[in-house]
Amino acid sequence: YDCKWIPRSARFVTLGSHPRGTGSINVFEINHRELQVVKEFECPTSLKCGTFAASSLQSRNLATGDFKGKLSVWDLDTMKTTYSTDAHSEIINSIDGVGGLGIGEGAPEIVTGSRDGSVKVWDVRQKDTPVACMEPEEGEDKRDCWSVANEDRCVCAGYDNGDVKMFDLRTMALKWETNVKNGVCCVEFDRKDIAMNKLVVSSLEGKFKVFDVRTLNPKSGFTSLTEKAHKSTVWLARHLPQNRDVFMTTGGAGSLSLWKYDLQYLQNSTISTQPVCGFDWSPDKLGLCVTVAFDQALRVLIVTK
Amino acid sequence: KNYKKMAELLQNGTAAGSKDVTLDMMDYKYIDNCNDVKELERIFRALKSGKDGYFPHLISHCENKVREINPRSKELRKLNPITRTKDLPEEEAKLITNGISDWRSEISSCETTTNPADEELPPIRQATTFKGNKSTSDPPKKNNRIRSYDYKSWDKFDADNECAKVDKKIEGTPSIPIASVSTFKMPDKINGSWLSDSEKLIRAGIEKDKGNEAFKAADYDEALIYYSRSISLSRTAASINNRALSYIRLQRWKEAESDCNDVLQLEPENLKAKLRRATARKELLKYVEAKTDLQFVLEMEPHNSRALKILEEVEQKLGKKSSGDAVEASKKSGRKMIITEVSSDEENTEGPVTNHCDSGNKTVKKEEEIPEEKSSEIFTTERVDDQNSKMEDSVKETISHTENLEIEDAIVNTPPAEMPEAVLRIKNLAKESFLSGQYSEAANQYSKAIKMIIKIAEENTNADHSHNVAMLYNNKAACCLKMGDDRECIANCNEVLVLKGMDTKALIRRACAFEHLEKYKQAYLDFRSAQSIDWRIKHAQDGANRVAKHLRDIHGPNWKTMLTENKVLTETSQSNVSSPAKFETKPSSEADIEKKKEEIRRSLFEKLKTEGNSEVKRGNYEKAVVCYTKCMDMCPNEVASYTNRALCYLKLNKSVSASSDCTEALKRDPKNIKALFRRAQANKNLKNYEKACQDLNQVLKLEPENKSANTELVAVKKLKRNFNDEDFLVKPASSVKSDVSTAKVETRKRKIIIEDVESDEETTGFISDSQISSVTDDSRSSQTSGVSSKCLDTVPTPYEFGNAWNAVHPKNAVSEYKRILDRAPVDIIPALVTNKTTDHMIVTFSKIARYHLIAGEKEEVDRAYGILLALSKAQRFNMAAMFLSEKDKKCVLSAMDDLESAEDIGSYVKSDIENLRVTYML
Repeated sequence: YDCKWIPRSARFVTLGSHPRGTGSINVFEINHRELQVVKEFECPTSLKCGTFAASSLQSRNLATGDFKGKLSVWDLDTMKTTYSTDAHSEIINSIDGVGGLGIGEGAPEIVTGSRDGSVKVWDVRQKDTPVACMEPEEGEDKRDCWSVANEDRCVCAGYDNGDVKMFDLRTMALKWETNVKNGVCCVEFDRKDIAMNKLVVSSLEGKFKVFDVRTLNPKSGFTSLTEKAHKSTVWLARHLPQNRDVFMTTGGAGSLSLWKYDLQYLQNSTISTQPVCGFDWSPDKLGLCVTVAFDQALRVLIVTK
Repeated sequence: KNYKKMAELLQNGTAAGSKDVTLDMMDYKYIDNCNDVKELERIFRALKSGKDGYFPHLISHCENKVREINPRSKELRKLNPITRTKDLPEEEAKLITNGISDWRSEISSCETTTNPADEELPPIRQATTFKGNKSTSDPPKKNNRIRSYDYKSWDKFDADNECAKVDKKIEGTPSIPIASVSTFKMPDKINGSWLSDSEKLIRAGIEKDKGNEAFKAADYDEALIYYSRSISLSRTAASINNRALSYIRLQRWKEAESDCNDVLQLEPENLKAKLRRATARKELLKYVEAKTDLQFVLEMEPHNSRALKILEEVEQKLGKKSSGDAVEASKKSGRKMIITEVSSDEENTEGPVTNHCDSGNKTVKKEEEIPEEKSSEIFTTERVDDQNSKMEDSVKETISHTENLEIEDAIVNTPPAEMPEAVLRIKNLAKESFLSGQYSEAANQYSKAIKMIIKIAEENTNADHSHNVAMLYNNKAACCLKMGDDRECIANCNEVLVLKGMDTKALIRRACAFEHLEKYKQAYLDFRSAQSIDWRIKHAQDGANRVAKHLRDIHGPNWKTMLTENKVLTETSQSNVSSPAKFETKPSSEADIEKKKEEIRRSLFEKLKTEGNSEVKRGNYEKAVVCYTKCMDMCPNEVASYTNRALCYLKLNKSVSASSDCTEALKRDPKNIKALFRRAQANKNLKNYEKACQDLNQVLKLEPENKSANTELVAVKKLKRNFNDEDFLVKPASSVKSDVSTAKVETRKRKIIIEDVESDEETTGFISDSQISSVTDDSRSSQTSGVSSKCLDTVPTPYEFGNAWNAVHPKNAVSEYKRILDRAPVDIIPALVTNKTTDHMIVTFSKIARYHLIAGEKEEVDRAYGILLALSKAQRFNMAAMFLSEKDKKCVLSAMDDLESAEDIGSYVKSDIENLRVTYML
């Protein structure tokens, strides 16, 4: 389901599910033109998503969300959990973090979005209770939260009905909301540690929107641009860590598209016939990336020029 | 039915179903005439769908038309399959894979394992819950629109009132509807006290990247904050330099200047910093200082258009301050030509960069710069060590001064004795106007003087005026060069060369003119011939290097071969020209020039090489790499530069590049031991043990005595075994072990390396190493024993056995040999020895047998007999036995005697010994 580079290394980790419903964490290493399995680990529940964004450069612990709503933080050297909590009552669809890896200041915090409709913010120093929780009022429809992004103490969440909501954790208030008409598959800020700049929201039916979140118009909210990227669902949008102006979108038909801001189309490539559900740029080597798709293959790509 | 369908198609549209694309639109002519993008796209889509038939030519035609009108059309986006490595051109694929491999080894070496420091973290956020996260999917739609058929409502509608409302709305909307969200102010310093050094560097890099991004977006205030944050973590020249540029954009000149000063303290030759300081100083009205900065920049890069532009402005300002306007005007005209030409040259290379700068200042607006991401690297390549650079600085300055005064010198030095009165007067006039910057006037006067002197010469054939004429032409050439009239300058220089033979000044001037005209080949040749006449002329050297760079850019690395054809021609023409000249002062034959050139190249090469070596000694491997790369340019056939660069790459952990360098070296000298050895090391680092073994064996073939290769080989083999184990078991523990052993090898390697550098000569590296190791005989033999004992537990392969056997030193160290042999069971000895049996081996075996016999135990005695018997079964044994000397035979014989006397202990009989004697031909 997901893949992430381990920062400051030539290794990456893939997360997924075994046929019998157990989760798998595999660590791979690039060795010349081959991939080596460094570690294989099986855990009780299937894993959906993971992030390194809230761990320090030294420890490099992986935070994962699984199908049963459990949030765990793994030490990849020993494969032991350093933190674990039953965060949600249903599957954790998305996870993100801030404050680690030298990116952003302040406390490292993890944010999770789940099918139970709530978005929760966690601090690994505090067990079991989230430091912030955004959930629907009782009696309202619970919407499936499909994506979260975290930036400078602002959390953005996208829901299956097309809602996008931005919460400011400092004031604990809803800062902005909109509806993009289609289920939101992915939300991502272009950078986590600058004054908010751009937000990409990708959705079902092949369209994505880029919001300029620097200036909020009290009436019309943020301005946005829309672009049709793929003929199918846009599963992910990922910004190049070395240059926030470039980002990749992955499509439901196994296609990848490279974009530049002002939505200039750069390149397109098909790698699979199945949806590309995981994509991560290497934070250390410019252009190197890893993808996983539902055809169960993992691919290491490099984008040059 | 078909008929009906056909008719329908023709009338209404195509089978594709889209109403507006009819069949007659799918036509070359129609497409050619159509200029509506939307319609073209529709046609293109319909054609691509293939429902009306498949017409590849028509499709591509339509595609081209769409591209012509709208190159960014969505219809042109094609789904490409992903490119695989094998699809790429070999060069590119190699580049990418090497890049990744180098990165991999680099990153795995610098992985931080330090313990997490006690971070200063803010307190845990107080738990809060935000409820009422309600859905916004159905925003209440205001339905104020009155339907056209709703007449009742229209009756009620008051148009005036509505108009007033709209007006009010417009007035009421605040003029600043956009409220800035970012009230949060970022601190421009980071407290990094608890961070480790490597982490600081990483974070500083991140902050600088953010600064660059903000700069690109023309948000200079923000860029400034990020650069400051980066600097507060680690003071790198690049980020300070970038901050200086941000200050310039914000028109904060003072800060910009001080930042540039800081950069120049770190990197005294940073051209960008100098240029930026000049810009800042110009605005601060410090024209003189600005000018010195600019002159420095132009000294290094004479074509820097921005420097020229600013210099012009500065000089204007300076001129206004001091001298009269008449002088100014002509000076300006003289300059302008050069500048326009140069800037047009440069434009192509700089490429269009969008400028977001809205600041009112014009000069700033003209500047097109992107903050350098890796400026530090760029400049370190140019930089020699600090002391050198300082010296060079001063040298350059003096040169630039002498440059300016060159003309004057020429005039003063040449005795004007023969010069007629009238000509002399004109010449002095010309000189004055030249010095005051009125070049065109000076040129006119010089040409007048030339005319006059030729006339006089014709009238009075006794006096030889050619020297004077040459001088005048030369001076006129200088004027033309200053004016930017390059063709005229070349013509004048040619005159001089015809009259005077080889004249360095004329050559240099012609070279400069050629360079301006972008005739780099000729320029290069002229610079080189000037150099070959007088190698001390720094200007010629600089020029030659500069032009060589251009040539390389244009023609690639093989530019020299392109040159040689021309070179011979021009040289012969030059010598032809010079030979008829009577007043030839320095007779210079072709061969002489060639020789001198070769000498110069050699000396430069040597200089660069020693520079590189000293950098290696100091541990600046990256700089050394640059030096050696230059060496390669000078003498592409010199192996030493390749092997040395390989060494640096090894040090920098860029094993892939190192190995490719060694391969290059081996292409030139297939028996270069260093190259082989280093490639082996590189391959070892890359875990290519098989290849490493091959190379080491090659080394041993060439130099069987080579100790370091031997030990390396043993180590590699050990690693190889470990590696194979690892492959099967995937045990992290074993990788740790191999790490330890590589670390061990690493230390030994370092020893060799120091040796290499100290002995500048290519061949001495290993020999000196082995000499030293033979001095420390004891320690080394213990080392080999350590190595061999490492392998004690396993049965050696014939190959290993042979190597270990050959590695033993001195040749009479029987105990060493015994240790090696002990690892082998008796029955495989013939297989181990293979066909390498020597007389020395026979003697050694017999000595080992005697050692065994001394112990006097049954197994030992049996073993003694066994090995001797086994040896006799080895290939080529008979041949070797035949060549035993008397002394050796005695030695073997005594072993046999001992065996015989120990017969009662062992399990053999007397006749066996007898047989053995026969086989040993005793």
